[in-house]
Amino acid sequence: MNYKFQWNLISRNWDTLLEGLVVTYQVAALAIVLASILGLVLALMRLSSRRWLSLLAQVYIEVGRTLPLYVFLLWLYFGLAVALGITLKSFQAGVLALGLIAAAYMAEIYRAGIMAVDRGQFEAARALGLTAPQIYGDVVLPQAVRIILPAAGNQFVGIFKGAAIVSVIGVADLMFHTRELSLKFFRPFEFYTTSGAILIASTLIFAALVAVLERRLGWGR
Amino acid sequence: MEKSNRRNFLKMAGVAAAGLGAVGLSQVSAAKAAPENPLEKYKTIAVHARQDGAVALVDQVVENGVLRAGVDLTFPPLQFRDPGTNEPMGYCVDITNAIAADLGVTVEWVELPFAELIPGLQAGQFDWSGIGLTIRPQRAQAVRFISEPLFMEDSILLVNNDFTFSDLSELNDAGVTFSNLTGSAQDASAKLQFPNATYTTFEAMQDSLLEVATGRAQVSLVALWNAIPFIDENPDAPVYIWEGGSLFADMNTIMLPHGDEKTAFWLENWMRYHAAHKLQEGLWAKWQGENLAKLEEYSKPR
Repeated sequence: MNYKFQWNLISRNWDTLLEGLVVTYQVAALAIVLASILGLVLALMRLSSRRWLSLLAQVYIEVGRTLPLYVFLLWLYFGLAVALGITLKSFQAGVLALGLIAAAYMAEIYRAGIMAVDRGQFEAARALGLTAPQIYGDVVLPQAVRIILPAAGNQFVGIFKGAAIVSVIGVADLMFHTRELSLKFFRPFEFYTTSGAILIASTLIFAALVAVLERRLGWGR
Repeated sequence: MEKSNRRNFLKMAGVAAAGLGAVGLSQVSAAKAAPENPLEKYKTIAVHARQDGAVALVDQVVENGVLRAGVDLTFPPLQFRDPGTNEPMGYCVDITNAIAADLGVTVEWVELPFAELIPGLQAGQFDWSGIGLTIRPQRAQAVRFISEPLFMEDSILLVNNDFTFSDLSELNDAGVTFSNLTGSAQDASAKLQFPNATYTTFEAMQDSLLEVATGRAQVSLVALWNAIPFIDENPDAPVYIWEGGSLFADMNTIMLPHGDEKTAFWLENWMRYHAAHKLQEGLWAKWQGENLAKLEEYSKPR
């Protein structure tokens, strides 16, 4: 095969790729926020003494952890529109799909962190007359976060990588522009290699930030 | 131990970030430094260039006893899989089988997504296409189209019922969203004809048409025989075919690597010969006759 590489096409279309990368970051960031908040709610529901709340959370977590993201994304974007007339914009559907699935994993991460805190802490806080929000907010979660953070960081990286899939519903992110450009110029190797390198570098930077945060919080000490 | 591991990890991440920044800066400076030839961006290098002395594909196919035909079998009634038997069928499949029969070989269907067919040909994954592609000038820099048509493709507008317009110029507005197939000739043509409109593209034809049915896009520029089966399969979809008919008809034909003139000539000769004997005409009526009869019925809001 006599293939001649044309890397100059990358520099000519760098702005377009960068625009797409910004959209990928936006989708991932919003999905991380959604997953973090909803995951905590689900974890607290799961730990609740009210059986129906705990069961509800458990069902959500089991479904979320077993449902493929790709299937859920298409269902959310096309399925709801056709069956129920609920038409989400592609960006909204992308964020929701990523965030709702990741929330199931985050719930288990939060739960593991909370359960790792010594039972004595709960009892002492209760004995001091603290309310449940005060117990979790001022006593338990600050101790649990050191345990939660490494696993949560992994999950956030997973969300970022998962964001690459939202282009199938037309979100104009990095992969969307990469595909269009590779088709326009018939240069899939150059464009997909570049996008892969960009995503790897972004993931490493993000993982490094999480590592810095872990060190500041004294993880392992 | 843990601190040194984290330190090493941070160093690695820092190097990666610096590398990314360096690549970005070098690309920008390279783009600024090099004098720009306005034609450079259209230049692509043909692979599989067959110089004198190289064996022609048609001869290789006969010697191997098999024709590797590159196809995307998701475009009924041109080329698709029979729902019952899963066998390839359609107008282009019949033509490819007829070519193989004249060569005395069997067909190996090399299935690829439509968007990957040209890269697939460039990578040598198949001999020539078993389907027709639109003879876009940019594609012709990368591949050799034979000069005889496999078929002429009418492109029409599939429109959402809630969207009306009295003149095509109204489509050239940022408030109008087109939903097209990624990398298709229709997508490229729409962007030329309606440059101010908003565009979204999908890899699957069904998804791009569904986008119009849901109302998120107002219109899709699509081949007539993609629109009619979609309406057949989704009778409740609130869409119709614009009554103005075909915006244009593109020639679609077989593609093969550049430089193989013997194979190109053989295929062109085959097409001309069988056109005179009405093979293509008969197959076209067989596969497209019903579609054309439905056009008037589907040209009203439903």
